[in-house]
Amino acid sequence: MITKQLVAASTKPLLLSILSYGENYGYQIIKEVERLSDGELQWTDAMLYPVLHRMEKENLIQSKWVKRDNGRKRKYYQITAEGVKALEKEQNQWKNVDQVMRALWSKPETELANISIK
Amino acid sequence: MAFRIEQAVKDWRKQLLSNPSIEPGFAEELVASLYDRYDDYLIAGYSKEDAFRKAKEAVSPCLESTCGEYHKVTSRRKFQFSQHPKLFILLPNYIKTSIRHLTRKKFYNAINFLSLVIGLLFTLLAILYIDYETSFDTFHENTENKYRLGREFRSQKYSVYSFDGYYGAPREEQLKQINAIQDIPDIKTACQFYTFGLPELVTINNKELSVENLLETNTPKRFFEYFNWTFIQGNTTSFSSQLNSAVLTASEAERFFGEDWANQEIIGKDLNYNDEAFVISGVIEDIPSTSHYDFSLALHVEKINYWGSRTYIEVADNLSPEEIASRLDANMDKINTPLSTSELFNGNIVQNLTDIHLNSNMLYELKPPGDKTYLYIFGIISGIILLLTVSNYTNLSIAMNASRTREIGMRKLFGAKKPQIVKQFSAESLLLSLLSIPLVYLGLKLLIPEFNSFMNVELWGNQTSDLKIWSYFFGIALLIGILSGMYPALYLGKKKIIRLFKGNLVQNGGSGITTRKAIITFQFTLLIGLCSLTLYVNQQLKYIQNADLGFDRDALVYVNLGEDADVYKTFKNEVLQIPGVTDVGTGSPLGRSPFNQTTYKLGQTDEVFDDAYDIYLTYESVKMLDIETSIPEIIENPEKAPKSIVIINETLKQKLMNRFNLTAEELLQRRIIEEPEYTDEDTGEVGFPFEIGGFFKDINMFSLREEVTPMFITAYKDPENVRWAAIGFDTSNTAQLMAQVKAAYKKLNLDKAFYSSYLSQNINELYKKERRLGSICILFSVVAFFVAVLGLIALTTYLTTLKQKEIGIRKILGANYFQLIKRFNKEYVWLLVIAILIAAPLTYYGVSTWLDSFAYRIELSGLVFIWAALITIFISALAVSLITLKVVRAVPVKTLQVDQ
Repeated sequence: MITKQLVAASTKPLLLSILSYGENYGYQIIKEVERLSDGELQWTDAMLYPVLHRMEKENLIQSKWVKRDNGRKRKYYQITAEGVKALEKEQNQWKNVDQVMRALWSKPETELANISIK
Repeated sequence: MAFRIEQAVKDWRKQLLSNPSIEPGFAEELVASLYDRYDDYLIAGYSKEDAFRKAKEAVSPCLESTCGEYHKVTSRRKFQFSQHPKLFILLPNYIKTSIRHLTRKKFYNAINFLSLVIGLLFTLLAILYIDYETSFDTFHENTENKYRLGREFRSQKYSVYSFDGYYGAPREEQLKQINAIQDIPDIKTACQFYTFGLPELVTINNKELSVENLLETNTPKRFFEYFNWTFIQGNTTSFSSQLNSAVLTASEAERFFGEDWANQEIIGKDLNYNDEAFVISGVIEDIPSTSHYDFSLALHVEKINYWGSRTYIEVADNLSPEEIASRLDANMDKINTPLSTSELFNGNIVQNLTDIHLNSNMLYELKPPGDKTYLYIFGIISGIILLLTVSNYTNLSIAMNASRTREIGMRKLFGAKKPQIVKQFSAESLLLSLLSIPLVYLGLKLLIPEFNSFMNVELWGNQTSDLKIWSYFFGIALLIGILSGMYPALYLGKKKIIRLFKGNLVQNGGSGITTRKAIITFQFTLLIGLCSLTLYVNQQLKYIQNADLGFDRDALVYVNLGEDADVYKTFKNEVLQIPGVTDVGTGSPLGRSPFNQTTYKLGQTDEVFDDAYDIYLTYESVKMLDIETSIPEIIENPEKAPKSIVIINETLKQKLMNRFNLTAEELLQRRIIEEPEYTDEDTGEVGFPFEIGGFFKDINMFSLREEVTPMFITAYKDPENVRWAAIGFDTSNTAQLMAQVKAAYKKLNLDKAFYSSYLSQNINELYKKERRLGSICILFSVVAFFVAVLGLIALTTYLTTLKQKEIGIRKILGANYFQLIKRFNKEYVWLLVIAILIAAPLTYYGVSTWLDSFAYRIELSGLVFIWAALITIFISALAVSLITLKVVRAVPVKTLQVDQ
């Protein structure tokens, strides 16, 4: 399982990324994340919706209620221009972290020791 | 019963909404999600009931934690939007209540207001003064790397940097010295100049005026680049490119060319000084009064007409003064060769530009240096006034606001917490102190010109930026506002609601220690301290002014001459004709600042001393000054006297007698060799020997701060060069006498400005700072008393009003006026005794520290404290009694009817 802290840190970039493919609703997003992580990331509604609200308040996403054929309603979320910019920033940061980790983990152990000594 | 999904969802939704964190929108969202999951579970083959149960669990496994997550979002929103508006909403209410309260108790608030105005006014005045004194030379650029050079010679420190060959040093020698300094690594630039304080006659456009503070420099470019004085006309190049150029300050230009000087062709005009022609090459802005030196006319000269110069350097970053001094010392052979080998030379002194005014006390300073002690005294006194103001406010507002308990109670009942009550009362004191600003501004505008001319400073001058002034204004007003409001606000804010509704909080004359009593004791302490300080300072001043200096301070007046013996004789004969003139002499003037001492040794001994002052006086001068000597018969008859005779003072006589075990008789006619380090190259004679011709009683040539040190007087008959003529007089009509002396001076047709100074004036001048301090102490004491008495009057008035009924009942029961007044005053007597016990040691310590800077001083007597206490008790008892009397005289029936 992924730790709580990492889940918290990755929620925002993940949400922005998913919504960058097009508008989506809460339950679908949870399923999408679960599918992409092979079940490693399991989000709950109680965690997701407050985050979506916060992001909406920050103007990163916007929402609308859509009435379905069976009379029920569903809330759809959409990324905003500001959200796209935020996503770019997030991507750069994660790529940097990723790059460092890859560099460190791809080296043989002896070299790693040298790095830590320096 | 069949399971109905709509009903189950409805119930669940209700359950969700019962929690305050879940808003309807959130619930809708969760419901939508629940339906999505429900559908999925149905497709997976679950029954309706199971599908719902599983979907519910998935959406919100624990209702509390779900609510917790939503709460995070909602609480953050509250923080962002609701805190500040609360103050916004309440502020008008605070102000409204404040204004209502201020207008309701007009008398007490007016007194509070008045005392705030006075407190602010004098605190600001003191701050401006301290700011002025500490801002000297800070306006120059790069001050952290700019230094003035001085020298330690014998055991004295000189602010003048002497030339090799002194007066006789030619231009080359003068420049060699300054260039050798500049050549030292890391010294970026070195420049030199000298200013002449006495007035000199200068002619421009046939207009002859006497100009004070003439400046001569032979490093003109470096001088202007270093100090960066601002040119209005001309520039540094025009001044430096040509010898005998002159630069005037704006006000000097106005004196010579009139008010519209700026529209005239000034540059290129001829200027005549001391029979030499100069050409005006520029006009600069006036030198700010916060510069450590002043000049009104700068001359680019070939050589500086003095024995040394004021020398300044700018060095590279991060170079300590000690490092610079050691480099200068190491290069002394290149700077001034004879000095580098002299035993008397003790090294260079390097002083930062901004340290000169307050931290320097060398010989021949450019302007009388400031004194930190006075800044401290000023700070303390204004601090006292500030504290009195604040404590007045505190005391009175506690008393007054005590009757507002119901208001506070109501506020608290409606949900106000302590911070809101504190804000309400702080708003009141802040409002009052901010309202005082216009009055304080007006007061300062009126007071500052008087203060400036009295203290010889320039507060709130062109140099002070308006921004700074206003920031002081608002800063102090806010500070006083906050400080005054703080205690009442906290005191009333913390009271329990039930206590607030029980009525008045002021204990009616209880015997316990209350804050009010503590504050009054504190005020009494400050008053007694200030009062005794004032008494002591003025006692010492009186002592200084009447002390026996060993000579007659009212005997003579000095007139500048600077001519040879013939001119002096002519002048002397002329002046002797004037009625009221007793005699005319010449020699070194008395009543001055310390100057260079000389080395000496007793003949046939080896020990060399370096602590003697050597002065020259003609026999007439010794007689006029009434100096008590052991050779009165010679002094009385100068005609029969030897050409010259050297007498030594009592201090030196005792020193030599003790050191060499001699009697006074044995000392007479013994040789003293002055400056034994000097050997005449032609004759081989060592030093300047003379025989002790007699003794004289110690005289205080300098201020009484200085100890009397060994001293020689060379009394002589015929002067050669006469710088000052000393005129003895015996008349009270000095104005007429001086007019006649001036006429005689004019007859001589000298190319000089007439300048005279009374010996008594010179002596007074030495104590200028002390006299100013004395007067300022008196002024501030009066203000402090005024503020304190205002507070006491208001407080007594208020308290007696509260006790109207008590007074009424006492009167009915037969108490007379005296008994009642005594009762009210009694409360203060004990406080006063405590105050004396606190104030006395503190003041004693402070005053002794100040007096330690005097070599001759008064003895501190404890009587002064009694006096100070008596003054304080008299003034406060008078105030309290008058106020009490007013209430006591009211008819008891009326006061008893009043429902409080």
